[in-house]
Amino acid sequence: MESNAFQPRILAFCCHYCAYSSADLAGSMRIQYPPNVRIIRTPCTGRLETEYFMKALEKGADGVLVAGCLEGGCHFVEGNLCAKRRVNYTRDLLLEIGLEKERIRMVNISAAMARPLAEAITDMVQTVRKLGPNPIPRNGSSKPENRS
Amino acid sequence: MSESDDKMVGAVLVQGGGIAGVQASLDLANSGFKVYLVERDAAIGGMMAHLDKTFPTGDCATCIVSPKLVECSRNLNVEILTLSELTGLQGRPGHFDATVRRYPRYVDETKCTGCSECTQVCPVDIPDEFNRRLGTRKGIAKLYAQATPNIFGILKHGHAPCKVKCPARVNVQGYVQLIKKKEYLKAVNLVRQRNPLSAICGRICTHPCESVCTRGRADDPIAIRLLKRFASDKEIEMLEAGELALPEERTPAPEAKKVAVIGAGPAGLTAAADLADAGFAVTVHEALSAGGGMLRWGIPEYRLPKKILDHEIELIRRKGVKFVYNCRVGLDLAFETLRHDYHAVFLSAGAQKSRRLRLEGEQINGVLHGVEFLRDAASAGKPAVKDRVLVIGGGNVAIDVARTALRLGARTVEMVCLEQRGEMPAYKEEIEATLAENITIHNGWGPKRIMGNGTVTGLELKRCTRVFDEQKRFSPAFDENDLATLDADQIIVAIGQMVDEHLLGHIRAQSERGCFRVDPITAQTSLEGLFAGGDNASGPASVIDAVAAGKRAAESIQRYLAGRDLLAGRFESTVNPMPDELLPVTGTIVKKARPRAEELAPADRLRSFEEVERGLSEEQALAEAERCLNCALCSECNRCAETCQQHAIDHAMKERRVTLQVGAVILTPGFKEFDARRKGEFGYGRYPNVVTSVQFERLLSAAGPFEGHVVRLSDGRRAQRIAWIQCVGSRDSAGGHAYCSSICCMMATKQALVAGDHVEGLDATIFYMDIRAHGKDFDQYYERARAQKHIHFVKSIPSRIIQLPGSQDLRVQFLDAESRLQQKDFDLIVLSVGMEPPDFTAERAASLALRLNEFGFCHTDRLSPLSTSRPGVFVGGAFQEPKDIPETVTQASAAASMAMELLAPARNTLITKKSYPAEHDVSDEAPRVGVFVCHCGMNIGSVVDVERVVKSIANQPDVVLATHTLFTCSDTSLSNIKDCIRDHRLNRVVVASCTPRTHEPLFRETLREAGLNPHLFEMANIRDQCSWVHSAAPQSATEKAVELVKMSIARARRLSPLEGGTLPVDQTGLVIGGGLSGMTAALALANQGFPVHLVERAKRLGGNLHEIHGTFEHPDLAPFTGALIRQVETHPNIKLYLETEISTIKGHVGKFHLALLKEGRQLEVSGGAIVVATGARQAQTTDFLYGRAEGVLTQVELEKLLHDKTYPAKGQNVVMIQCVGSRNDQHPFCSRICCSLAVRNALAIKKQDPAANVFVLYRDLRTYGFRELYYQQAREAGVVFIRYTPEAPPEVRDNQGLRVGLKSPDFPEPLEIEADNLVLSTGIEADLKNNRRLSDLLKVPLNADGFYVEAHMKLRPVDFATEGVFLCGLAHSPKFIDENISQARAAAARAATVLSKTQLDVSAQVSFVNQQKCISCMTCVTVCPYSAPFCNQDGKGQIEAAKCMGCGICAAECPARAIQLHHFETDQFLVMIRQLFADKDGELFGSERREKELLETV
Repeated sequence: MESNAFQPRILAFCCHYCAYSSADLAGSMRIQYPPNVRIIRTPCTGRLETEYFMKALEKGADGVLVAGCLEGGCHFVEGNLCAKRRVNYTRDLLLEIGLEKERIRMVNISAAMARPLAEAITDMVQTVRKLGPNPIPRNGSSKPENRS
Repeated sequence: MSESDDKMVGAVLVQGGGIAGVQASLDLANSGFKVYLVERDAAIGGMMAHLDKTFPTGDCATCIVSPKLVECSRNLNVEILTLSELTGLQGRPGHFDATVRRYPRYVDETKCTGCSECTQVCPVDIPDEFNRRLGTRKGIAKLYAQATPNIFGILKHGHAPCKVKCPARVNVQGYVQLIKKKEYLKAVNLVRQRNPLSAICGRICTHPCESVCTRGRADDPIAIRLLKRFASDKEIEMLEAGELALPEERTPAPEAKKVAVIGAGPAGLTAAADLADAGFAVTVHEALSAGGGMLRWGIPEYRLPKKILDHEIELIRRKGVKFVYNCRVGLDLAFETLRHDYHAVFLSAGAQKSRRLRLEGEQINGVLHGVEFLRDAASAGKPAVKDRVLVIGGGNVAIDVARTALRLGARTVEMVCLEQRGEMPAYKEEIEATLAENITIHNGWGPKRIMGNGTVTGLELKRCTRVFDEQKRFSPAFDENDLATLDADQIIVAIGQMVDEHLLGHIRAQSERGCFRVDPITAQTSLEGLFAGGDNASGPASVIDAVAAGKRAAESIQRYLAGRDLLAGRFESTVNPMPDELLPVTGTIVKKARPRAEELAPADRLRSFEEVERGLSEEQALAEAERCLNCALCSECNRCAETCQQHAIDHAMKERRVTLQVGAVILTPGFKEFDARRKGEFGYGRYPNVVTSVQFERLLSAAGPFEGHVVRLSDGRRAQRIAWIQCVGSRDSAGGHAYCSSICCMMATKQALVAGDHVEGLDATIFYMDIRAHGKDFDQYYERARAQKHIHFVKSIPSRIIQLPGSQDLRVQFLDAESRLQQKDFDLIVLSVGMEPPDFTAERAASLALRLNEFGFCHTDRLSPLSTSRPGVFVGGAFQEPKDIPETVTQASAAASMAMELLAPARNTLITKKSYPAEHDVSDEAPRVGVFVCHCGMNIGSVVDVERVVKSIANQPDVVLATHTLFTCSDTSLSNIKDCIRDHRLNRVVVASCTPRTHEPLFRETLREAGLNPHLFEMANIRDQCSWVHSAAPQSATEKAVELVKMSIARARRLSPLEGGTLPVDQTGLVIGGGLSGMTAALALANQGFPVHLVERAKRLGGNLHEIHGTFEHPDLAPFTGALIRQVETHPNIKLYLETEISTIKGHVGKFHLALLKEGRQLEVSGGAIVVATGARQAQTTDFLYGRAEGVLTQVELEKLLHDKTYPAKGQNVVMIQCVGSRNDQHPFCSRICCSLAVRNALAIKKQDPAANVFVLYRDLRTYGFRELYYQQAREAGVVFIRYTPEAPPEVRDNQGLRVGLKSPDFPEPLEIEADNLVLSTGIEADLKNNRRLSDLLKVPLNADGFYVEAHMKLRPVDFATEGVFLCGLAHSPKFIDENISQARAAAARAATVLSKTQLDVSAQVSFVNQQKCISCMTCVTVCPYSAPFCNQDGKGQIEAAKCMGCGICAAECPARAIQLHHFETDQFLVMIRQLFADKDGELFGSERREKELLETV
């Protein structure tokens, strides 16, 4: 796991009631997944704004994962559907600015779905690894940075 | 004492911590009562915690139930008593003394932090009952991963047979498990706690343990002796290799009391070791030149090498025991001197003399005796052995003698014994080894005469006809006519030993049959201070018996010298056998033989005393230890206790009884699933691929043993063809389960649908009798499943299942719709097991003075469904009648309302309200962050380099304290945090440890106690989401932890103190609707002392009740209806508004205003909570000639006629048609009550005239629960039930009388029935027009059928999403009277949680609108699911904090970014993102200030 290959930096947003719970459950079950992900907790994925996703990518995230409740199972009725809409919108934006839309994705995970969450993270890491590093330069420089 | 000045107790005991108990507890605690929630299991959650998904919403059960459980455990006024049971109840309503039995957890709940280190070291794997034995758990574990309370517990119910059988009570299971974990030294030490002669017994123990080993029932007992030997040999190997040092030599303290031991045999050695350990000065006096007794002088070298013996004696010597050899007490040392010089004496001189045959010729030269022969053989001068040796005797000594003689040079050795081969007292393996060495054994002969003249020439034998008499006593009989002779040069008699008479003579303690007389438990003799044990007290016995005797004596001597009672509470009394029924099931074990230890080849043995038996190899030993079934569950190996850094584990915990003072009791013990093994024809328990529906839930669960993979248990292959068999243990009067379990049809439907998501190409078949989808939205769910191509519903219950040899597929034979015999093969079969009453035995019910019904469920009446036979004791959930989750939750709240009503005067008398110091104002202070990084024992510390984390974050901006703690959540650490807040003037606290989901409230509490606002706290999850999931990558995990903590610090710096507001509550109830539900809810509130405004559109109260004249149980309902109306009309707290319409509804929870219109007058009433009980109506129809032909009527009309006794049943042909206008495209729902009504009317007709013909044309007969019994009665009474399908509905013609034509799937030919009367079951429909109007006023939703939609179908069945508004009765969905009563009471209880408070707390985590930025687009108003935002008088958006649930959807949607969610504000997110991607040197991208400015200007 700790190899020299490109190590993508993935930011994940998990909703308190489902995905964040399942991330904890993955811990209880000692399910292993790549350590490339950092999770930010949100009360509901419906709270997430497009700006957070864009900001993360601008600052150097190689990928963004949004994990909300199962569709129909949102603790706040339809917050996860709002998030889905915004994630899709972000994907369109990424295409427009010449980034791969695969750098952001939304998954629906219930509180018991520890393994699927771990798999979603692993898959995200692999997908982004294939895409390569986020080409947006860090530190505000206009030249693409060679990070590997 | 008079009733009035006798204050009631404001506390309630709730028995059963399933969802019902949790709901009842929360309702009570939130309305001013103290609650004791008593749960039998180790965690609350009940059946719901086992479920994967729930129907019909498809919610993940864990997702929805966990927050409730956590809420319950957090509530200051709910005290959860797990592993507890209500066993007795004294007193009267309002004043009960409840006796609660509390079973030991063996873990101190106040100390356990849930860190799980114990579980990591526990060697024991036992079937996991939570997963219905589909997987295993550790001996110490949590009930399930997300268990509440989050603490561990040990499972044990007694001791394993091996330990119980062992005379010395050695913890066999414990050391076997330690060997499994390669903890060899720990294993030997565990043996030595009860037996200091581990290596010795590993060779020569008679191992009675193995004879009772449960594994022996399946294949072979565990090779316990060889495992003990293996571990002991490992110790010796390590000593020899220099990897281990002998223990330090100890010397007793100078003031230690002195104990003398006579004889250094196993009993003496054991006693000496124990007494030395206890601090006594022990001296062992041994007559011979070295220690060991019979171990040295009786057991040959080839069985027990002297070096092993010397090793274990040396270990005992090092304990400080002094050995004096060649000292014969009575000869070399006077016994009385010994008694005088020592404080106590233990006599263990053994039985060192051989018994004599007392036969003719025994004195002839060449006749030797066994013990003496062996002793000589063990000494330097070996005895001379002749050519042909004959050994007399069949015991282990005789065998030793024979084999020794062979090794000393005998040419042939033969043995003679009385017993047949199978009866010989020697061990089987010894006999086998003897035969292998070519020694002949002559069985069944007794010696008659030793032949010879001066020297032995042979032995004359007589046939032994029996050895033991009927009582199994030794009493040999011989046939004196059946004689034989054997030639021999030497005869060795080895028929037993005895104590030396000489010794008996010297020591004048009482003796009996050649042995010292001792108390069997205390080992005391008749002389003061003299104890005796081993062979000289018991007669010749085994080594382990001697060890046990030594232990007993040592314990007595310690007690004796300390002046304590010799008998009370001795060690032996702490051993209790595991009940036989709890021992592991052996029927399904995969057989695996025990290993054989290698042996020296017979040819190599003959002339050598080299050890014959070799021990097990490591591989063999590990595999053998793996075979142990862990009979006692916990092995008491003590690894957990050694590992627990909180010292929370106590294996000696005992069961306790506590008495609680409570005013009322609510029983919610749930149900137990039917044991499918009782339906043998389905092969459950025999066929691995037959599982129960609960097991299938665990299979489907992503957190279950197979992580959601639907596999066959036999081979782990994916199950593609799955069948469900319904009604296993339900609707089965032959099996004593005549009732319907109500939920299984929906559960199977759900399982088939969910399995379809798990298994591609699933082929699902559900074998059913009737599909009972009678709940709200259930029928639509069923229809959805029916529309799936891969799900087949087959109306047929197969009579048996056959497992196909080889593939282990399962074959089901069944009758198809055309009554043809079909068969189909499946990979997996799910038995939909019914509900049984919980383990609530008749005895326990009697002790609570509780009446049970014929099936063992709680007896209740349909008109008071929550009252048990005992006043003050209420019931809810499945224990009352089988039911699903929403009804269970409803009944739980309803039962709570019963208790509230009873105890209303005592409300708020026993509740705890915590007070905190004044909050320190931090608004003018720069952030001062304190960071506490937790090791969580080894959980974080073993992966993440905690100290490096602390070092890496210490210089982050504003961090003034960075430290690490072992367990941050322990009491000492929490008070340390408080000290640090004070000493370092911290105003932000970051804890990096586990998950905020479970621990944030605890740390926030700590902040409050230290005078800080709780919202100034932030948590980094470096355990559950870091160390646990990256244990293989410690370096990356440490880096991740550093980043997570930095992100938390960055966020913490941006946190602000938040105040949740309060709202005043108008403590008045508002009830809309004056039918049964409205009246019941109004009364339930009024009886608690709340004023109630009851608004009804009609002229009179009662609603649909006026059209119901009777029920099954109450043929005349009029008195009930009349009394209810009178109560409402006359209640001083109820203000009635008849013929009144509602024109507007304003306000929010705590304060609602209703504008009313009564007879043209405007009125306004207000209250803190609203109950909607507006009912529904009987559906009308024009189908089947209703209203057009004579003799066509509805069920309700028929019921009235029957009730009024005006229906002429005599000789009638009555046809009833079910589902008229229901379950079709217009009304897709099921009206739930019509099947039962039809059955009731049919029975009434049959009662009037048994000759009348009643035909019920139905689709699925839905008499669920106990109503099934009436369906059965109707069939028995001759009512004919004929099925039809919606594709071929009945056709009715009026052609000189009614004729009903039908093509039933169950009859080959079309039917035509002449009917005098046609009765239509028209069902119930929503009052759409009025519901629409009220739903607009209330801003609450309606479903497609026009019924109101509750906040959550499963867990908030009577709440609306809008706070403070509640729902009950037919307005929710069709249901029976008892169900309406429950629901109305539930709504009242929920309303009381609001009305009981003078003020409501409003969460601080709510959204707020920046009025300057608001562009009045009102997007927030449209997106909020809770109607919290509204347009204020300035035309701007504003948020009603009381309604806001804190999701933040409005904040994200607001196009002007005018809305923020407190505590989850935009910059609090962005700062974490920026921190995460900041450069390594900590310099943020751009200046932080600029970022902030940018944000403000956006």
